[in-house]
Amino acid sequence: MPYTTVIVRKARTFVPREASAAAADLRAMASEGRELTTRLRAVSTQLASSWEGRSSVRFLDGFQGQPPAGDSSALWFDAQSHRVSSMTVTTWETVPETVWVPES
Amino acid sequence: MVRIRVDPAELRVAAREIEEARRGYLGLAERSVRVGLEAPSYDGQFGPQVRAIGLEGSARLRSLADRLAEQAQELLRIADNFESVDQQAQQGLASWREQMIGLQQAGLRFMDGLGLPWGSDGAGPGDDWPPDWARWIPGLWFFWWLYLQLNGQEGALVAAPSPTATAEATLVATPTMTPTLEPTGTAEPRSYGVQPGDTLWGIAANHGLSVEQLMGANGLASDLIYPGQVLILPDPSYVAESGVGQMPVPETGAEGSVPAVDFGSVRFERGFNSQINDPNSNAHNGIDVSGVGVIPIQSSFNGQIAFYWDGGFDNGDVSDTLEDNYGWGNSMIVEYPYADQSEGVQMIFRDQYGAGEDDSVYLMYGHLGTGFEADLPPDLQVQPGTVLARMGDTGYTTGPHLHLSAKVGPSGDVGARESEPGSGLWEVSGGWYQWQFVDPAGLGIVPTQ
Repeated sequence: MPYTTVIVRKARTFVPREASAAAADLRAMASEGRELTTRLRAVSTQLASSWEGRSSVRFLDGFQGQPPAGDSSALWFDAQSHRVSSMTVTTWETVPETVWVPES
Repeated sequence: MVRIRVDPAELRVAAREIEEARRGYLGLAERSVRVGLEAPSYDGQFGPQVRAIGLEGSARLRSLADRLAEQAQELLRIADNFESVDQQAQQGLASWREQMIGLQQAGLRFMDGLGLPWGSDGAGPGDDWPPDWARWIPGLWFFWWLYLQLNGQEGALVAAPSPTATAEATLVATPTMTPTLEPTGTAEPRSYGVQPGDTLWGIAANHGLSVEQLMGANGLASDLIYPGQVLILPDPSYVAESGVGQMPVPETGAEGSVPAVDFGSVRFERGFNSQINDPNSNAHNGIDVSGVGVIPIQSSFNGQIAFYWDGGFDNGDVSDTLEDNYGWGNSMIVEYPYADQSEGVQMIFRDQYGAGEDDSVYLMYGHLGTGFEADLPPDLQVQPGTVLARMGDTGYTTGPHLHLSAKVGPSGDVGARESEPGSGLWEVSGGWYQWQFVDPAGLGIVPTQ
């Protein structure tokens, strides 16, 4: 009986198939966020080019920070998309394995 | 074109855009959560991490959406403020129009008084005359007269059809005191019986006199006359000279071509009697003096500057009433104690303002030009003729002008408010001024905010 079959546990590391879908979702959100940011920037530019004075300064001081914040969020979602797309998991599986057993 | 004052509709469109963006971000925030929830766990190696990412992304987007909501609201509030000011301006224009109609009527009466055609009865030289447009001719005459007054043309008729019309006309026409008239000629004075429809300036013009001469000769403190009243008509060569109670003579403006304006001759009786003493009134509590250029504003009497605000507000920016000093812009309150005045001025304070020995007359000068602080007297003490500031366009304005409010109250009443900081109101003798307390002069007044 030099060979015998035994059950062993083996680790398997892989990228879940759901990861690509989730990453795609996050990437799409980043893209849509950028579109919204573009609209905000257009509003900001329009107001800044046609309106001045203390009211304008007070408003735009706060508002002009929002498009960059939107950009920052989009970048973050992009980064998370990359992170998710390369996310791996490890599973342990039991498989039969034929092994040689030396005779005693 | 860059504008300080934009169309409110433009702001509302921008607010709507921001609001739509906000909704978009909220939608993304929900999706972010959902992505996390849909991720399978893989024994806690995948699902929880994606879920954490989704939640964090959602929080980021919601925070952004919240800020956008606030800013959309802010924009709408600014638009509301602009619209509110528009309405006030419309009301002001309506009031101005009424005054102009009154002035036109005065012009018609003036034409009647001169016996010229196209007076109030519209009668012209022929049956087909005048055409409709010609009925405005008297008004045009009058506006020409007004133009001459406002531009200080020598030889112009001097009259004051209405004390609430243009304040500069009032300045010229209606000194607050009763000037004494020292005759320099020998002619016997004539007299005139006031007829219905007569105005002081019309009578003066008809007899080659100035209103000051006529008022001085008759001891009039205002331009109000009544039918049947007999007025002494001094000889035109008579010259009114300074006497007891005479206001300081205006100095030549520092700019040379811009004459200094003696605001000591502005009258405040009307404001005292009807508007200024009503703390709940939203009426225009004072008098506006229109002007073009950097007209110096002189102190009327002996006194001290109680408060001033030289914050350098943007012209016409009305979005924040509090920070805009309740609309007064750069402004100043000067206390003129009764006790510090000459005998003549005390007479004015007593007779016209009802001030007693322990009272002061407080004048508030609003919408001043910026940068006056550097030129103020170090001790803040002022005398007649001391230049306080220059006319400006700060705060709630539709153009350069000086707003003057007046109040009589116990001397030192401004200082008494030190114990009640924070109200934002200046109380004097039961009346109120909206006034943001500031203490740049180191008087110990606590700012309200």
